[in-house]
Amino acid sequence: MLQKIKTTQMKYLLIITIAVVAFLPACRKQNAGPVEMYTPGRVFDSLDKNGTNAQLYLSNIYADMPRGFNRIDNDMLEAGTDDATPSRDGSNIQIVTRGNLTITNNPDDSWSQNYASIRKVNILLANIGVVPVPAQVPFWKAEARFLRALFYFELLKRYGGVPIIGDSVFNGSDKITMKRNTFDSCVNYIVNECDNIKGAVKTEPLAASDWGRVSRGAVLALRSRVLLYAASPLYNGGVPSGASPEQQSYAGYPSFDANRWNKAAIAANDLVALNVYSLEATFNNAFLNRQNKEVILSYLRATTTDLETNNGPIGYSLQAAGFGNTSPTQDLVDAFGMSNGKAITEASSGYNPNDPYTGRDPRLANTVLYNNAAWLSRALQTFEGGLDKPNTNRVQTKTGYYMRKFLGNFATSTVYSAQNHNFPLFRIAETMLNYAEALNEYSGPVAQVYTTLINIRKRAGIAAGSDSKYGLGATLTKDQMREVIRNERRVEMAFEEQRYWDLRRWKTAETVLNKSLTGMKITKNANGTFSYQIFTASQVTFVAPKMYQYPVPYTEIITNTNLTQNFGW
Amino acid sequence: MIRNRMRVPLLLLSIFSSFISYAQDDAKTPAVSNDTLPIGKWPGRGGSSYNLLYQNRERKLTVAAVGEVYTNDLIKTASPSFGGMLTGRLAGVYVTQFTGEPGNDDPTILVRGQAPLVMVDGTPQSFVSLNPEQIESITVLKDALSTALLGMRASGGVILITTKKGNKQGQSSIQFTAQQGIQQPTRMPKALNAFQYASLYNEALANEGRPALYTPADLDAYKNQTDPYGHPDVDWQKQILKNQATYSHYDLSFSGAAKNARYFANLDYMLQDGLFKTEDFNVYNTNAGYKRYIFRSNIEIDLSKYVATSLNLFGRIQNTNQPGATNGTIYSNLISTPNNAYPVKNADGSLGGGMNYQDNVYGQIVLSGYRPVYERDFKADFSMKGNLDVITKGLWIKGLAAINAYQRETIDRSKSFAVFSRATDTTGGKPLYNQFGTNGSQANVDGANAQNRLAYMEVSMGWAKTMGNHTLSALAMYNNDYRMVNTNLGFSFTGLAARVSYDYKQKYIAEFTAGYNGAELYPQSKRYGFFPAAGLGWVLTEEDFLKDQLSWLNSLKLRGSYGKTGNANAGYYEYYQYYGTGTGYGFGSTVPSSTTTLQQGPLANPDITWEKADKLSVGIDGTMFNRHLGFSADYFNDKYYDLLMQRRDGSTMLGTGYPDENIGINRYSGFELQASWQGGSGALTYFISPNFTLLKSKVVYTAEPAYGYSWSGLTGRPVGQAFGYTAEGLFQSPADIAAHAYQGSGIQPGDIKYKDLNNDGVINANDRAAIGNTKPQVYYGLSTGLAYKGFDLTVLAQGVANRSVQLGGNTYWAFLSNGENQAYDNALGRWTPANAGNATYPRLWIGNNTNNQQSSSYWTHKGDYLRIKNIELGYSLPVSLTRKARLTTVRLFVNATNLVTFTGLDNMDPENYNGLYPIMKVLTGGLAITF
Repeated sequence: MLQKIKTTQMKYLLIITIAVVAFLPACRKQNAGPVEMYTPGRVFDSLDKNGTNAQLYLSNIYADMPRGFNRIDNDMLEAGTDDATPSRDGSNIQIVTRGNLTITNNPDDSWSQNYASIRKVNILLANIGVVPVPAQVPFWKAEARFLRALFYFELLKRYGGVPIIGDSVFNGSDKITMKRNTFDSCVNYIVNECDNIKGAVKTEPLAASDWGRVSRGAVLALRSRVLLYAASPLYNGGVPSGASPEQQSYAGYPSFDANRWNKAAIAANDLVALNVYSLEATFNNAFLNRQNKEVILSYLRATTTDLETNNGPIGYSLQAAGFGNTSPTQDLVDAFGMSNGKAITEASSGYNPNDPYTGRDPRLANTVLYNNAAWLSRALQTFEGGLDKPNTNRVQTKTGYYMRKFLGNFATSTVYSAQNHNFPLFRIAETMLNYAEALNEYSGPVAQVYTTLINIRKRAGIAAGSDSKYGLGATLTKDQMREVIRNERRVEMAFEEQRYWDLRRWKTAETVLNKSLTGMKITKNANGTFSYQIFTASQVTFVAPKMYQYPVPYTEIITNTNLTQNFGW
Repeated sequence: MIRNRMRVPLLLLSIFSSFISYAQDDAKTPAVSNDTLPIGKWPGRGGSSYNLLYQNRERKLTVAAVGEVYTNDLIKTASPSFGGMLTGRLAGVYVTQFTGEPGNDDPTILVRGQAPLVMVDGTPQSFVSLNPEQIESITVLKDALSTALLGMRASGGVILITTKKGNKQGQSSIQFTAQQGIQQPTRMPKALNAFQYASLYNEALANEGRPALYTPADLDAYKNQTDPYGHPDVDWQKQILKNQATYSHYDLSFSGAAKNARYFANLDYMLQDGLFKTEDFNVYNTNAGYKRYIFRSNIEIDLSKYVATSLNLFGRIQNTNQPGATNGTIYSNLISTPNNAYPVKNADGSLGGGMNYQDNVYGQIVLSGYRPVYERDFKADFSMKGNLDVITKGLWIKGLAAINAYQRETIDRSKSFAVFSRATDTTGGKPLYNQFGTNGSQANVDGANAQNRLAYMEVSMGWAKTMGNHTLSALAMYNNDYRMVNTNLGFSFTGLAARVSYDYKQKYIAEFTAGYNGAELYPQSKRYGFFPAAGLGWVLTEEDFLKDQLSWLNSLKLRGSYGKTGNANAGYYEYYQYYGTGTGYGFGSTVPSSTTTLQQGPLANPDITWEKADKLSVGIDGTMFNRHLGFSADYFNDKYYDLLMQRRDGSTMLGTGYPDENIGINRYSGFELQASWQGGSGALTYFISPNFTLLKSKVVYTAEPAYGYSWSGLTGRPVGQAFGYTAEGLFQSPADIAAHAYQGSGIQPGDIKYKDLNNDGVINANDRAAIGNTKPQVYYGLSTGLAYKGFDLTVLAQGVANRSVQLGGNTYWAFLSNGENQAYDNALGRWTPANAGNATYPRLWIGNNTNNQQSSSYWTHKGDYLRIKNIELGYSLPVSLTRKARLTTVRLFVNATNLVTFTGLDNMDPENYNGLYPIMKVLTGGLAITF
């Protein structure tokens, strides 16, 4: 048979053989891994002599700090309190204000997010040892540990006691069955961490390039806040009586201990007495300057106009346009006293309901935009039918007010320009008020309480008055002083995500957040004057006691059966 | 009949088949008999063999579960993609189309519930958008036996497209087809007019305890349309969309043979225009649209009696256009913008709009520029096959190489535009207009581009021999499929495949196939897997006790197969732990220039492997009644395991997402029937060809937590089961609410009432249960044809049963997005105290409603439908006439695709009910000429 094949056919067979050999796979090196990605060994690298990548990793943990501002579906968290109401209908914050929070529906749920951040810290602590920068590594470790303590505090104020995972970095195959730690042990953990790292972080003054890093002041500020919360009525013996002992141990301390206020006062004084942070001369400077002497730690960002756009009045156009998402309430406006320091309800305050914005605490104008206030080169028109409250189908203020706090000083500009909007996580004014509150609770309205409040009011621009008491009554009882301090916190730190939590820890949310919220209906008269009428703008609901703590998310309860749900959920 | 001129003899369907036919011609020379198929005069409804993987196999000897559809059926549905043409044609194949957006309307295709691998001419390099004229057949390989050669790529089944080849008989022919027509949306939701909208809005506000927004004067202005600028009532669908859009399709084919060569060449043009209106002032086209140019050239040359070669070339150019604002955004704005949101233009001629409505929809279609997308594909397959009879009879060797290069270039020529809102006139003078956005200059930049390069090669060797009553054939193959997509590193599927087929007297058939292959998607040490399958067949009608015993029974075959397949679906280096960049953050007293940060990437799974399936398939094929009736019935039971999924029973305290793990188990089983009756008398011929599929799926294991309630959890329920609350109608009174389980605060009459399944007095996640359809899915098709003298009529009806849809979103819920969104006519059926008994929609609300918007059976609607997928009526001129013009045939036809849809859903297409660009009904007329 073979001999029958002609030579041409032999030739073709040769071609096929060559072709087949050519088809055989060329020796291609198999891929070892994605070239564009970092390996763990490059992030924590013994040859990275400046620890550049390790620093970038640490920066990523900073980026997980609370961001504040319009973070709940473009609403401020304060739209979930009596300070403001959302201008839009049916936005997510109303899940809270309508009492519709459930185990599966919580717009401020941050359980998994904080554990994700804690994981990042633990990865850093486990790997940073190889990075050959002995001068810096201890700082980085301490900063990471501070951030971890902060993340635990974010969990603690939302859910009560949570599982503390220490330095563990779990694998996907680990079955996580940890129980919750008690409120007490969580507080102790955070305070101990603060005690351990307060000497390990950088001390002030920070170098310009280090601005924004965790400093000794930040550690002390967190410690002060944690101990203040622990001493507060909700936790200090205020646990719900119907709860099981286990649930109570997660919710707080079963019994009251006055010494907790003492600890809180001492912790606050530890920072105030350092005297490295002080109030800015001007209220707004604390919010609009990236670096200032008042803010201890803030969430640093590039300059933006997002706050102006989200919250600014709606009657402007182009780069001056705003969505007006936040409607501050009349309740908040009424909380601001007069420039003489007296509450508007005091007989001698000089308050005129027909001219309600004149002669007020200067902080009002820096917190709330009211009718006729100068804004973007014209007077704000939140009267009925005005440019900023046209009563058309556009989203607009529900209360006659827009938010002013944090916005740049745009009274005489024509457009918004990018501003520093770095959410203040800790500023010295808070720690001062922590001190005043704790000291008043522990020792009553002693002189240091007065001094602290006076310092705050002085900077705010309140007149000293003939008695140099800045409007404070000279003979306030402890209870009266408590109300003054609480009100001072409200107006000084409005929209800084304080009141939402303050109302809970004071255990007053069940009354303060169960009512109608009011606005101001302003009518422009023919002669150009305005008439003012307070009206009901919205409702707020708080279901006590269960809403004092968020429910542990359903997915967590169902996957880790050792977790006990909070009382009432 | 007419198009039959174009049909190529079935044994010459592919390069492979032609080679195999050599071997077969030498090994055994039984003329292929048509005895497993109904005979009939209707052309193109199946041949005597199937195009299977790497072989053409006689139907009577096929023991695998396969289905095949041919050119004459494919051309009947006007669709750019072969998936659309497959709809309703084959049992076991389920095609769903979600959108009709030109250039982006690819349907999803499922074979026995899985996503199949698509191959063209034996290479895994596919094109979704193809003209049917170049396709000889589409074969769907459904079981393990027919696919195991592909090893870890086989689990989803295979759709094998075989293109046409030159006519071996040497006849040359030229066919030209021209088809021109219009497209219209199948169904559109019906929006409320401004008066209805405003009235209902006030009602919704009242429900929320808030004062009315629209005064009686406002309502009057809407009702009487007295103030088109201040109180507009814009029918956006009318404003933005044309009544119809153009559809064109032209195709030219050449086919023939020279001495040792055969050729098939094809040129095709298709145009699918969009529905958006255009304006003459634009010098460029802003309408959506899709244009496709295809050429194919398949050439086979026999270099000698022993060496055959083939070269297949394919090129495709696809040009897509859309307005600068993009089709998706525009259509979504069209759906969500209320009639009274703003006038198209203000009194001063400027575009209407506002802070919350900066996207004037009219502006978006004509003033936002345009974005062309240019796509180019090139595919070349070259093969050589040598007949090695010189070594031993029936032996051959073959090599094949194929490359496929694809590039997509998107060009952004969009621009921004300003809108103006009339502000309250406070001065009494001229109206004041607030401007939002600016008239920007037109961009001209490269957008998101894509490319891929695929290189496939195989070397195979085969042998076939008949010894007396025994016929044996064998195949062994090595192949490598290298794929480089976008910026990802390239990777290969590499492996071996083998097949042995045996039959005894064409009565008892046995077949064994196996694949051994691997991919770099997996860790270096664990890359290769082995996937075997076996099949048996028994042709009962070859047995003495049946052969020629029953006059009505022509053939009957039992067949079955069992095997293991794999599905290599690991993501890009999922086995590898890496770090990537995260949210930016930077320190310093001034804003730093770089804010790069690093974080751990998704958790790696170093043990990741391919998914697996154990598939059982049994079937029966028969022909009866003088082969007028042919049928195939199949039962299958497939277990899919090691399915890649994230576990559901892990705590989020892990601090990152769980990695993909090979843990899931699903079972799919079902029944398929495909039948065909052909008949006729005198000049009349007809066929009727139904198909029916019942598909049952079950989640066997999915790593869920212990929910503690029998109604919770996916395990034991159909794959993809919808979950939600069980609605018990609407609350009718405060007493009703008080008596019912607690659903949250602020519940009012007219809100949806949910069943408290665990009777704990609270409605929460524990009360969520399976909602909607839980029964096996049913889909079916009925294809029929009738020809009389020069006329022919074909109809394809296609439907789905046991299907439910969850309605919601912008086309169904009123006043979403904080009340900024549109409302549709279903909201007119809302609950009011007066309408309490007849309400078909809860009381109205604005924005989000945490009670009513929960996933619940209240929003479940029956999704069953029946579509007249296509109807075609043709008339062929008498031959006496065409001969005079030196034409072979001339046929005129009119065709309608998606002409009618029967469904329980109001104003919604059952496949497209979520506010995406509508699916089109296509009405065309055409002419087909054969020279």
